[in-house]
Amino acid sequence: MFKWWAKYRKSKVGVAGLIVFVLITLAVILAPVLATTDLEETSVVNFEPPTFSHHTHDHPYRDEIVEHGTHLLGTNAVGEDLWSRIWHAGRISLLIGVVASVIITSTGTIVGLVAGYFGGIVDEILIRFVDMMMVLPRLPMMILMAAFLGPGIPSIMFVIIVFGWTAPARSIRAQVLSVKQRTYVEKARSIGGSKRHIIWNHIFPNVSGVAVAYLILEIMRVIMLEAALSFLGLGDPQTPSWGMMLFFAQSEGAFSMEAWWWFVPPGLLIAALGASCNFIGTTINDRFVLKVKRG
Amino acid sequence: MSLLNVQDLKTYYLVDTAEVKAVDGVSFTLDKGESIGIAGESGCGKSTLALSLMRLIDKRDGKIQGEILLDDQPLIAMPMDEFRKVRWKRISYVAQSAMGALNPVHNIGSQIIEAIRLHVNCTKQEAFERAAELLRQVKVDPSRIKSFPHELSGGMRQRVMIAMGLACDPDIMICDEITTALDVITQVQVLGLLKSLQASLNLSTIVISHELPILGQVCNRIIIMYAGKIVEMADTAEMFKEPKHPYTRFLLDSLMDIRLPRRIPEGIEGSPPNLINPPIGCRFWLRCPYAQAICQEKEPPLKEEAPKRYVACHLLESIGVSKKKEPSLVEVAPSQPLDVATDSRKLTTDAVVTVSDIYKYFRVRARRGLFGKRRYVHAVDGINFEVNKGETFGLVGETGCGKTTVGRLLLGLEKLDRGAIYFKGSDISHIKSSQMKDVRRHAQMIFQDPFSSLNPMKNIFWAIAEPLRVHGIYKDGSDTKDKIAEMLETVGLQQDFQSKLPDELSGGEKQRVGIAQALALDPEFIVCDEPVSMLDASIKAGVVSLLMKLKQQNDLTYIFVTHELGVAYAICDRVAVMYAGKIVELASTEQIIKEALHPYTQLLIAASPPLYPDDTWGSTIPSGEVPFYIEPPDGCRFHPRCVNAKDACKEEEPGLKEAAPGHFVACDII
Repeated sequence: MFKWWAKYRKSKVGVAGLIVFVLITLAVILAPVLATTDLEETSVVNFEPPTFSHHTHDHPYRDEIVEHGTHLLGTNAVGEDLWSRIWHAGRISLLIGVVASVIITSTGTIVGLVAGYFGGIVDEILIRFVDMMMVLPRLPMMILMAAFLGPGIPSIMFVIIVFGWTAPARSIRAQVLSVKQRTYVEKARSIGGSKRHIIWNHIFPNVSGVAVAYLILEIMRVIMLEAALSFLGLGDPQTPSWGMMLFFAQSEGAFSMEAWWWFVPPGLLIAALGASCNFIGTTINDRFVLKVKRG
Repeated sequence: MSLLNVQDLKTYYLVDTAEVKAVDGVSFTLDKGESIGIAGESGCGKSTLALSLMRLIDKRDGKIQGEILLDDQPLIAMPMDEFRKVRWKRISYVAQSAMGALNPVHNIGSQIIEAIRLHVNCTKQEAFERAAELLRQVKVDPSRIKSFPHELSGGMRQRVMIAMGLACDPDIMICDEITTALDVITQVQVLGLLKSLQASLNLSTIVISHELPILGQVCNRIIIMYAGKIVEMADTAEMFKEPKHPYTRFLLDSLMDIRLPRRIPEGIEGSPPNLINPPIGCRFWLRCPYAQAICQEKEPPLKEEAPKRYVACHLLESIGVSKKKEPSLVEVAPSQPLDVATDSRKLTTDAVVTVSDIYKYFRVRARRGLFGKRRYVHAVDGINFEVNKGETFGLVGETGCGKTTVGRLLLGLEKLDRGAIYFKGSDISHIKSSQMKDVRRHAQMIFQDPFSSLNPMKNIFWAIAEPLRVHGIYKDGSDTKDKIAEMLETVGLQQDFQSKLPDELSGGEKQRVGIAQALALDPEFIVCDEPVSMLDASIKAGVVSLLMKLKQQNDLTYIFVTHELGVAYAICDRVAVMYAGKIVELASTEQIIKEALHPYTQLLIAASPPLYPDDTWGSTIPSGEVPFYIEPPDGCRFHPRCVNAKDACKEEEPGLKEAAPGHFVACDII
């Protein structure tokens, strides 16, 4: 473990990515603590820009006192506090990202291992199926399918997974084909090792680097896709993710009101999380994945 | 004034934040028409030295310091634009011709023409004519100028590389391991070409090789490098007659040569030092049996001991300037040769392995044309032999002769097409895999490539425990731990290796782990598939003598697959020579080496490089290469290359016949 960290640490980009990722993850885990208001609570002022202290002033036209809460990121069209909402939405985004990516990567890894190791007709069938999935126009298919299944988080996750596992399956298979050629696999056979022994002890550990890199990179891709699909209105309005927040911002006129505090922060967070996953994933890929042949 | 004068050359690579001192203060001169050989183990900096002379070290990877003077013109300080005019025109570089050295999408002619036109102002037609002339010079038929690299054999590709090196008529040509990838017979031919070019063009060459005997044949002067420094420099004859530095002596002593009495050298313990933090003092002291206190403290300078003879050692007086087989050397380094020839080993006749008429053809993927016939490589084409208990049975031959396939068939790693293999009397070629697993407890294999033979994710303890685990003998108790500790000790590795990962081991150490893995199940029979061919000479000798020691201790039977006649000569009891999927000669080792009957065996023996410089070496080798057959020719497979071939040889395939007691040969006209 220590050795791995020493190796990982040498990549500045990788460390930066890891820090951003950990910070965002911590923030969404601590969402109830960070939230300054109750999620249901609404302020009287809609579209209020960020305010950093509680204050009151007279209403310019009417004879009443307007009360301003502390809204670090202002409020939205119905006066909800965006600072509190953004961290709760992050929970949904990250949860979808991690769960879908785990399912995608493990499915892809299993298919890749089986196709690559057993080869022959098994490989032929599996890899042709993967190829078929890969040539389908993805986004239109996803939108169609999600619309057919009805909006909501489960259907979004379903379509992302269905169209997501093929890329890791192909990569892992390629890696398995390379590892399979190595002398230690041959040696394990000459010792009398069973297929299970060889796959589990020799093949899998040596493709796990690619699998982990994929796991992280998939989190990014899933979050991006989820945001895209939600923005198109296929998400669940009751449990807003960052993508849903952008959808609402768009549909309720944040752009025309120039309420930048509504759409810039979730956009930035999606970008930051995506970039951090990308940095971590590529670092793992560069440093821990077996190269095809040394020297 | 010398042509090339290298003064205190230092090339340091930057790896992460550490500096690897690959070449660390090297000085030498090269005169016009002279040929210098640079020898040393892998990682001693010899290739880096060559690349530094060409200034081919990328600035981001490392830096070159010191002075390189070509006709008193400093090369290192020269701006790159100017240096480019010197490079290739005055100093050229010939790399080892693996497929990668030539561009596969251009024909060889255009690649030579490119090399000419980049440096010499001439028309395309002139360059083309020059290219054809160069090909003639390196003895490649100029009509092949339009051939692509994959259409040429390995030897021809190497010749084309040399032609490119000669393209601009340079003063100096650097040859970096140019024969390493070639078979022995081709090697002799390429070296012969190099020798004749040196003479006819008055060309100065710097020849780099890890094989000392090769340098002995083509160089006037030899430099021995160790850990980035020159430890000895002398005229070739002097160097071989009287090696002075302990490292040189061990290096020479590690070599196995069929022209000398049979013996198994001990090799040098340990491996070259890490060049990030090389040891203070003499860099060799850790491995040197003579080492004194002064060696650890002070770095020995390269002193001129006699005219033109430089040695870097503090202890020359005390260890004497004696020849290398002086008794004192044997005392200090117990290189007690295992006397194979007179070993009172009674060969019993009960066969451990019997191979009965086995065949293995591999299908060639590409057909000739869409509806062409499927073609098969005849890898193993009807082979019979028996291996007796306690014997070391050698299988020798060149690349592609099928020797490795035989080894793999024996352990069921390939499926047999026809024939049968018996292990201690029972047929193991037609049994279920569960039964085969039982056989595998008694029959093991040691593999060639130490660099991919261990799983990089598992430590050494796991690797040695793996066979035990597979066969259900592994228990979490202390018995297993003791067993693994014992195995490590047997193969001469320290106990702290248990927790190391394969990346932390050198090639020789990995190969020792491989041996421990094979021995873990206490087998009776081991197939050694070129176990030492990828190791340096000094390490090779150590591994070979370990294998022989273990054999005596554990009463093992070996099949030893190798392309090196010297190694086979040192350790095998009987040898089978293979050619194009068939055994052409089978006899005791002495008979094979001293009384070879088959013309192919004779060719192999003549081509095997002699340890001492010998001007007549290779003069009897006919030109042309041993072809690689997909489908062998009719009649005797060797007839197209055989000097004695008669008409009958083209029609009838000779069988293996007993020419003398125990001496079988497949040739009708001896």
